[in-house]
Amino acid sequence: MTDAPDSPHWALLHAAVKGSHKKYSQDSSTARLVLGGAGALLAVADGHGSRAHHRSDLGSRWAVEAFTACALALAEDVRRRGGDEARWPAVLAAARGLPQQIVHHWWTRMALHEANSPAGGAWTSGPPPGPDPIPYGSTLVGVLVVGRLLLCWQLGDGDVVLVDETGEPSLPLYDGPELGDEADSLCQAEAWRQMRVHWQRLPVDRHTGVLVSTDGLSKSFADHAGFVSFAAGLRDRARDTGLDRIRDHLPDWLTQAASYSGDDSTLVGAFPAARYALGPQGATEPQPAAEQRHMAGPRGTEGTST
Amino acid sequence: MNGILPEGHVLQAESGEKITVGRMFGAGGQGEVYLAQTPGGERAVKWYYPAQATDLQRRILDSLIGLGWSDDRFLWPQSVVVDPQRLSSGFGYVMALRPDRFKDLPALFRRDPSVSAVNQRTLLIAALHTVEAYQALHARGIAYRDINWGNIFFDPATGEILVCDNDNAVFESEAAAIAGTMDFMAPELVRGHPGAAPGTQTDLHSLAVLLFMLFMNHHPFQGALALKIRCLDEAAQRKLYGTRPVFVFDPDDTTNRPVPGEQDTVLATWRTMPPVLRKLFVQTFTRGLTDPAERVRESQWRIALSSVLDSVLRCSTCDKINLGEPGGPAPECWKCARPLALPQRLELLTGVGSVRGRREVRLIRDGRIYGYHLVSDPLRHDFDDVVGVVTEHPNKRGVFGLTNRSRTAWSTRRPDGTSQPVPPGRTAALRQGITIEFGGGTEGVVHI
Repeated sequence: MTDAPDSPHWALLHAAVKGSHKKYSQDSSTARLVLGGAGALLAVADGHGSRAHHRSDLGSRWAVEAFTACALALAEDVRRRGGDEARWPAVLAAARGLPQQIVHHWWTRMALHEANSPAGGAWTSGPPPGPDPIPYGSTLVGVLVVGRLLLCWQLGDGDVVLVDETGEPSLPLYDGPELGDEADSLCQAEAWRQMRVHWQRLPVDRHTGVLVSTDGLSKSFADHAGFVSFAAGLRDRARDTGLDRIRDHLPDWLTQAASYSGDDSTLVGAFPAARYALGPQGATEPQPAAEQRHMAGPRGTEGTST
Repeated sequence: MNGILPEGHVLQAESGEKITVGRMFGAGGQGEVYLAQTPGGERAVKWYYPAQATDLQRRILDSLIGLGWSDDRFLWPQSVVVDPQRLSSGFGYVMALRPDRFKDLPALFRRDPSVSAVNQRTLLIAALHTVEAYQALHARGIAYRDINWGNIFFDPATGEILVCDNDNAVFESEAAAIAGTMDFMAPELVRGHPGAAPGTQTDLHSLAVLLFMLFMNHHPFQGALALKIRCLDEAAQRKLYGTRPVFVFDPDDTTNRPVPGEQDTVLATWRTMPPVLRKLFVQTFTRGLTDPAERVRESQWRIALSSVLDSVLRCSTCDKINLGEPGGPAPECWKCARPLALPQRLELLTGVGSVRGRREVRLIRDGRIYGYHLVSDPLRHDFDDVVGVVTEHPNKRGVFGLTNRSRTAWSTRRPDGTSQPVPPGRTAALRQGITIEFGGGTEGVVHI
């Protein structure tokens, strides 16, 4: 099940746009095939971006890098186990332990940078203070899908949406709207404790796709139901017109979303390649946003219309 | 969440009852758990992944259901269910639903608001209940085999527990479908040592890991060595938990100490542990790693936890509950770092004749004397059976008494030999040297 297939099992989506009022984006992301196409790895990180977190673009980049390094190692572990479901309990134990490894890698990277270039400036007297993680604060949402096993990790806000051919999209890690702007962050003490983990076995006959996004996208909708409707629309369009068309339009849609939320918006996704029309495969980079056009944006009932 | 079984699908129990599948609300390494409607009301159904729905698992389930276990600390399998429409091959089982007041350990680890009622006393009670639950299983010759943080739930307000996923428990020496989760497995099982098999002896290691995580909110082998690993893959887990496990507080090996800045909670919680519990953890996670006979038994945990529970202290400055060392000096408050004052203690002598049990209870404000305090070898700690409550005098601040909440009259005896009855609802003054006779041969002497 997890040997490298002749053609990739997964087709990827990846787009990111800068917030409409921002000088530069603090989001980072990746969408890549793993194990020769037998699996997919998705991650988005949203640097907090305020004055207190003025290096959060770096924080979000390191978050995605740390997640990628750790999740790739886990994917290799799954492959070595041969996809044997009877051994999933051990895989899940590794998945539960991953947050501590991710945060450790992020922390090490941050501490090194702080040592060379303290965000608060060089200290002048007394013993050197410990690294200050606050300027680098970022969320992280990551997904690894290998064979039928789906694993998700989430720290702070952002969304993982599963879309299949039966019923409504599901949001396995969604626990209601955020109260205020206080999100869990990599810069808080023992952040790994706050990272939620979800796993599930993907039914093979439902062709489940996975979408991962920063909250800049979901916040651009009037309510969460609108965002879920957007995800369902994306699935329908992918099925009806193919992922290539989605890739063409996605930057526009995100640009429209960013004009509502004002926030950076990033969306990555993976769909079963055999079910959805194929486009370019392999690791992707964010597609540049097209010029903003006047169109029906994601906010509204049919959020994906152009 | 979408699972193997679609919502509305109808399963059939062995008794012929129809079971309608509702939403899926959980998934683990062996299967998925669904809400279900049965003729008897709402239940949960665990449905096995195809690879896990083996003949062996089916035999284990049949055996467990045949036991008819009705202990309220366990969500025991009630009935096997199959899919008559063959939409999904395999089988599952019906069990009671977990009441919402029971929370999982990850909620505790991440300080979720849903567990904000928890304090060190309720954690102690949860630990005691956990030990007694597994002791009850082991006393029947049943090994749980899959003790881990995913199958224990607790009520943060009361410390009551609920043990779930009991479908891997088997009678000692019988084959089991699962050997356990590697981070909870005894090292000899992780190493695949010839002759090592999951059983009650290996359960003791898993139980100690679970208790450590309950109190310290951290895994006992995940210190600096674990952070050097990029992913706890099979090889890494084998080393960390099997071939070279190092306890994070091993007094002779400091290579795996928790890393300050990244693992501060375990450093802080370990400091709050009274020495009597620390010693048991050190014993089981050092000598017990190589010699299973050195693992702390349930009876040892039980005695130690119960005595620490009797030594709980309350900070007079910040009102936080602290764990005291039985018979030991007063520690500093873990919260405000002020020195704690030791309150009066009640020295209890239980039983009759030459075999008498002895224990001491610190009489903190609102402290309780329970029925189990008044017998020598209680079957279990029942915290609903309150017989006495430490109450403050309504007009004299700082003067305490013990109010009789039992149904029988006590009597007090002063050092001068005079005595006085204490009927139910009345309060005995707590003064140096006073003896309270609780009946049944049990008496308590108050010491300042």
